[in-house]
Amino acid sequence: MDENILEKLDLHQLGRELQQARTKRGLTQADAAQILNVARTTITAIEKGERRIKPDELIKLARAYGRPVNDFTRPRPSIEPFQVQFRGPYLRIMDENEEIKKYIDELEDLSRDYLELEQITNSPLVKKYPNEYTIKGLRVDQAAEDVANQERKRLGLGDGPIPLLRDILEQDVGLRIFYLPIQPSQYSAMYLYDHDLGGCIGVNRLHPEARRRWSLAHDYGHFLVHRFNPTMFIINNYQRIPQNEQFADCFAACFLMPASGLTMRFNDIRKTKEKIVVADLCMLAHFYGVSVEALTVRLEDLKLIPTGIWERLQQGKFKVREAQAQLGLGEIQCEDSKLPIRYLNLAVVAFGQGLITEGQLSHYLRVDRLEARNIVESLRRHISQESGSSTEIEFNLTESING
Amino acid sequence: MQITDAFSHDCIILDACCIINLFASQQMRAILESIPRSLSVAAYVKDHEALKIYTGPIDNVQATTELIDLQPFIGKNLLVLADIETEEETTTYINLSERLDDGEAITGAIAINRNWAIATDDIASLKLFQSRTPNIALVSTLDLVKYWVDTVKPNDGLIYETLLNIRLRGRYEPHRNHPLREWWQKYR
Repeated sequence: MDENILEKLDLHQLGRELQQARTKRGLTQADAAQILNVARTTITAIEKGERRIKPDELIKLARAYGRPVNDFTRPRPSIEPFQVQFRGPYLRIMDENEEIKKYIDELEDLSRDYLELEQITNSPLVKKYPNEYTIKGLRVDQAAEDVANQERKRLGLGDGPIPLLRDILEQDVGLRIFYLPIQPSQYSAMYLYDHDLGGCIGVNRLHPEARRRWSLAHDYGHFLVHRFNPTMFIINNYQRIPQNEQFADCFAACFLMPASGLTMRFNDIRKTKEKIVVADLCMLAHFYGVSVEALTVRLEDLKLIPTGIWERLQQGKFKVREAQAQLGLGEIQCEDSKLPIRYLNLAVVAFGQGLITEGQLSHYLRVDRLEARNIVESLRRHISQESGSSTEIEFNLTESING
Repeated sequence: MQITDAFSHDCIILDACCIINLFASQQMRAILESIPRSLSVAAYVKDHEALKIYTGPIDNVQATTELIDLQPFIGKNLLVLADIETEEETTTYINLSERLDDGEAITGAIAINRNWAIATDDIASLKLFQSRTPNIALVSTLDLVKYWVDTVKPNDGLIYETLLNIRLRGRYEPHRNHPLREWWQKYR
């Protein structure tokens, strides 16, 4: 116990971690030097991995950076920080870069914790990534339809609605998807890729489910075609929509509402009645888990209804929510927890096996200890119920079922 | 480990899990008073960990929560605040933080260097302390509660209520291999 573990930590990685923590906290090297009462060059040397930090210095810096010491001493996967520079069409939001950075940092931290939990529990994420699609030379709408059809086929989705889109992209593709409360509300989603983490998507949790599904499908389109380019999906941000954004939007429409299935269902409705009415659009949109706008525009694009219908509805001040309420259309089925279910399970398994402490569990779950206990208990009960037992049973999540 | 083993140490330091469970019992004061040793808590746990319990009515305990305030226990000398003081404690804290969260690492560092017993319900901490510091006595919340029951002899109704509070207000269940699991189940 007397041996100092700082002696065996990788100096360069520790230095990098300290430097990142300092900048995330908005402190300069001079600020850090003042905290330790050393010269600024000492901080430079520590961050470059040229000088070994002392235990009391690490404690002081960790406190100043608002981080537990454990963040710097436990073995964690080393990832390249998401250094996102939005250019070109994103220039309009450059002033808001600081605001965006906060959410990018959060997505990075969560994705890294996810990878760490996989390492702790020895449960690597199975990534079933297709090769990046090439769409060069194709018209955007053609390319989107083509890629969406290929992906639906690859994932065995048929041509119906995709009720559990998030589950499919997490479990069948292997993306890391988090629902984060992002402000202001024009930020819909962000997509980032890292060699070790794979594709990571942060969706604005504050949006209605239909919009979140659209954002998710949109960013999945980026993953399929522009895999290594980080993107921030912002509603109405462009004077002229760039081609990659046009593709992602078209892809979302084709993926969520495939032409063949939608046409068949639309024609089924048309066969039974003289006129298609707005209520039909509302019900069909609900069926596909998309907004009435997205459904109407898609039907227009497929030439199943005349163009300009959505515009007319807007001009007529059509109130979507009121219409949905009148029709008794409930909430779209969704899984909107901040963390992926698999992430929660890994954290609970690690805790149950005594691989992480309760304090670490609450950190991973981003809740206080009491709420963390609640989650563990709920998950345990949920599994007990699913196992078909009428009496409460102790269920060890890590127990082998092979006898 | 028997609770009497813990009494061979000068002091028992309580970790965050144990604090939540004792506070949730609504008998924390009586339980602490019954223990014939000094009891301590790390200042970090008191100041940096927002510990809470559920305080709603018994049929809907999760309706409200309350932040745990240890000051009344500290004021009455039932709990003594402890902090990292020496270079050795600092080094042990850093070493333990490789595996434990900061609150557990500080609690462990203080106990190891001052030869104090540790009261914890955290499986990861227990595993680490058992393997690295076998001379340190480790006790659980239930050990402390059972000692109170055995010495003060509250009636069955109060014992039932105390354990129910720990279960509902602290959301704690002893794991199935806990030595006092059977005793706990008797009052369910």
